[in-house]
Amino acid sequence: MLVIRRRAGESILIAGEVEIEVLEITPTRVKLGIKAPKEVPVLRKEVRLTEDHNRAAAQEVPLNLLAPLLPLLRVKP
Amino acid sequence: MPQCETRYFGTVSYDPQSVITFSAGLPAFEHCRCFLPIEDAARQPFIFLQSLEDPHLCFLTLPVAMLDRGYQLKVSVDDLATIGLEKSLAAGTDLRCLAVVSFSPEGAATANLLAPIIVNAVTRQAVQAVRDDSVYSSCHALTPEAASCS
Repeated sequence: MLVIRRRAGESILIAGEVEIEVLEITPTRVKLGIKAPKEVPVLRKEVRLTEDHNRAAAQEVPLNLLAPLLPLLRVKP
Repeated sequence: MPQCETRYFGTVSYDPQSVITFSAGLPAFEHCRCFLPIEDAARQPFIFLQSLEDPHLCFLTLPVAMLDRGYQLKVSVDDLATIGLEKSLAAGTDLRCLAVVSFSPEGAATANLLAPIIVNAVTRQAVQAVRDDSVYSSCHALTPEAASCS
């Protein structure tokens, strides 16, 4: 992984057309500004993980897989 | 009563009042807005969310509290607005929180606690609220053998 140190107000460029600017830094968060061409999707990674999980969840489930789970769910504290 | 084709239960009749509406769809399924919750006595506590637009699309879900009793709900202002609520979660707001469950080809089950489905039980508006932190996993293992991922 490439690691670059930046201060608020400084930017990095990716492939010459995507610009990520550090707008604000707090002790717990960084606010980023992103300039990218319309055709470049910009997503929080959590959304991508959820898309992937939803696609997997949309596959047909053999319902006999549920039976072994039911006792586990009932005994959970 | 209207009828719909379902993925797991053939053709079923349903009460239109029970339909829940995702005005923004779900991530990767933005085109699917209307879902019918189906509970099957033999498979409780699972709740099947059957798409009314696509008979082949049916998500299996579980109440979040059943997976993690201490789950701390965190929903953005935008997601709250999507289900007709303003700014903050008032105590006593009647919500249902469900986690989408997926199965690997080997049968290992994981639940998405990073993005619970929140249903406003009064208006039946729903949203899959993707958290902006990394406190919970998008693939929380339900079974000991389910490999956990990021």
